[in-house]
Amino acid sequence: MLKFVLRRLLQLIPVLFILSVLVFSLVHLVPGSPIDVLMGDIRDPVVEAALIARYGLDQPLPVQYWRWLTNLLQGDFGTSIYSREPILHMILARFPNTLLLAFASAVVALVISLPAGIIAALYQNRLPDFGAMGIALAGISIPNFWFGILLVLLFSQYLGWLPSMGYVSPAEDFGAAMRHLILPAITLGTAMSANLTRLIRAEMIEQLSQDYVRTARAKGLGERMIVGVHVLKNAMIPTVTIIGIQFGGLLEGAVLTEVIFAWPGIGRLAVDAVYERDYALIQGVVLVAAIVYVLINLLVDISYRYLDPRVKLG
Amino acid sequence: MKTTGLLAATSLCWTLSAGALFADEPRHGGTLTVGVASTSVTNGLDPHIILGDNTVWALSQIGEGLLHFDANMNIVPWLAHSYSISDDGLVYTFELEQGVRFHNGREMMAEDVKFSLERILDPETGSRRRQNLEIIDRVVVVDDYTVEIHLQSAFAPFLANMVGVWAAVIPSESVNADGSITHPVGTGPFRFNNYDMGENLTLDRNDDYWRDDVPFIDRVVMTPVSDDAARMVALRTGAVDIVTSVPSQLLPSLMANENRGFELMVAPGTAWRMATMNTTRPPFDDVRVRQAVDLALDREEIMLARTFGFGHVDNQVWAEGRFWRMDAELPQRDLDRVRELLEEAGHGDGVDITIEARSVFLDDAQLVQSQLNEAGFNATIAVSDWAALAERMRAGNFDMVVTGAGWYADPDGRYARFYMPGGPANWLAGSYNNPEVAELLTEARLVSVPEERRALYQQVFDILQHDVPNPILYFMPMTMAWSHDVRDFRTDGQGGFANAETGLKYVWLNR
Repeated sequence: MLKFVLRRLLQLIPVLFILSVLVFSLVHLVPGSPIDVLMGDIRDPVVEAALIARYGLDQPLPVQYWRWLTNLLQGDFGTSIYSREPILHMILARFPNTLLLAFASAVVALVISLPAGIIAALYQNRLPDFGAMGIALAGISIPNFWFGILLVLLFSQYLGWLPSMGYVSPAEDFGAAMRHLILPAITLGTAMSANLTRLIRAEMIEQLSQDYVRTARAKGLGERMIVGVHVLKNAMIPTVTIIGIQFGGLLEGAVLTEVIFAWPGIGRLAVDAVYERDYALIQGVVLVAAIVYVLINLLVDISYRYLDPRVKLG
Repeated sequence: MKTTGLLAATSLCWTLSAGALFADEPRHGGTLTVGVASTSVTNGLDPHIILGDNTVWALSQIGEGLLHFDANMNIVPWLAHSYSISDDGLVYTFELEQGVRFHNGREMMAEDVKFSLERILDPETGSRRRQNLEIIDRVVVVDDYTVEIHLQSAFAPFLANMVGVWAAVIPSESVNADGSITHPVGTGPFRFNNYDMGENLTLDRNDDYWRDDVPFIDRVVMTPVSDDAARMVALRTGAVDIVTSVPSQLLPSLMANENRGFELMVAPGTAWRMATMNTTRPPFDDVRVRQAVDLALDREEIMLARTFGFGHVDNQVWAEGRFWRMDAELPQRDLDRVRELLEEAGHGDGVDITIEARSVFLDDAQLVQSQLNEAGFNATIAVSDWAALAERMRAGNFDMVVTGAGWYADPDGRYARFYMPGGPANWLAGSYNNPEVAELLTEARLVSVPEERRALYQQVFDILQHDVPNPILYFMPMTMAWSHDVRDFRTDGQGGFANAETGLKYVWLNR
């Protein structure tokens, strides 16, 4: 087990190295430089020359890359051209917020999709199935941002139950933090639940037709036991994989939700950084997101072992 | 009995009027939350590197300059209580207010003025206002409260360039070792508290503010709410007290609704949309083709479509009655003349152009496109983001760009900035280069009599009306909304709120 984890972590090194080259090249190949954005509607060749020299943008790209990489290896992600703050500090300030939102959304998605998927599978091609699949289809089709606004109008403006926007740290005021979390988590979670419901339904249907189910029924095991323990556990293996992949998507796909709810997450930081050509910040965000993504998939792999003891890690 | 009754009645009256009186008497305390229509409330925290209107507003709560504008855009003394100009126009002497303290408790002195100006002039600082003050030869500290600024040559717009937070007086100890500012310190009505995660900017009341009695509110929190719908909900639910922009499409119904539940300001505004043409390459190097564009545009139609009639059409920033307003007629659509002009220019059978725009100006660009195509152009549209577009525009690699620009206080800021070859915003005027205009603009800088200056700008304006490198399409309305319990939120006639008589320092909360 430990060996497996270590090996996976070692595999991370070449992945990150290749990624760093890719990100760096892409970011620098996009037309427009941070200096253009920094100067706004002004041209001042004297100031521009000073800024270009300060950020080393006059150096050849391989030199710039080498500088960035060597600093990175010493734990220095550089400073943002805009805020002049250390990039690692900016990312670490926002990443927990995004993780919190992603985690809460995944919980919402599971709470919706597990019962919906199971019921749909058990009542295949009957009314509950059509109902659950209809809702899932709507979930996929309804744009995230629109659904978010609807939730805000209902729960904030008309009912006044929940705040319409903003973020409160759970460490500061747990109750307020949860109230602020609910609407964005539902917005993001429902979108994710739609796919999951369909997946769980399909897996459940497949498992229900397996030999072991017939055997279990033949030996007189209760239906509740068969579905709740045996079938569900087997159906969860591909589901967990998808959750892992989607969770990665949540990390960066949450931009629209973050905009609507003014949620201080990594998605908006990344988008702003791209518009501003804040090179080091884009690179830093992508790298950190990649690390987290790989780590989550490692957790997914480890969880297989508990779902299916035949899976050997290593 | 009779007397008592009278007394009771009188005291009742007194109580009522006192109640009304107290309700309108500014009250101290409270936290004001501002929902800013942007993904970030400020671009950085350095008052000398200001980028964008939001940043101006945010940082002008913290930092102040020697001079200010009043609500009519006259220059008024601020941190300097008076100033004098030598007869040759080369030396400006400023007498500073005494007893003005920075937020760190130290008194502001002449040495700080010198430090601040020299910091702006240092290219390493990266100030976007360096060129405005480039004319400064040296800054001399005469005594603790007197500072002399020597110019290289007479420069009429100099005072205007010393106004406000762009030339903020800051203490040298607020600058980090690497030259950056991450905790801004100034003399303004609010002191910097925190800018958490690049999200909320929190400012606290400056209890030692040098102007008497203000500000009233204890704390200002500026929070970015870029989504239009979310911002309006935030105002209605009380999550924010002020929003900085109300979407145009909501204005017709909100204006008609007395019970909308909040105060609404719709002012003429000073931000315009324009069509910049590249004067350095065909087809727009030919003035006739640019004139054809100018006459092909139906500005009223664009303005109505984009602002629902709440914007206005004009070809200059200064409103009727302002000193710097030029005598001018608005160009009217004339398709026959357009056809003649295109034929004269050798484009009788149409001319291919590409209109580029950022996504925020895409709707404007599409209206321009359809109007030009009606008039004999063959225009296509390309969308780009700012960084990529700016790079191409600066390299002179474009036909036409539909974009926006802000407002400038002094005519030198408006005209020389765009139309002086190599001027700071000359690239946004399609690198327009007319030696006659350059000469007039240079002359206007040396003339100190306002009426004479105005005559020179009128000449510049007339030439530009003929040359039309970047015709103005229309002006966006300036909109804001705030809850009923936000009191004395004053704005000037055009919707501005960052000058001496307006802004957050006079606001109080009736809660």
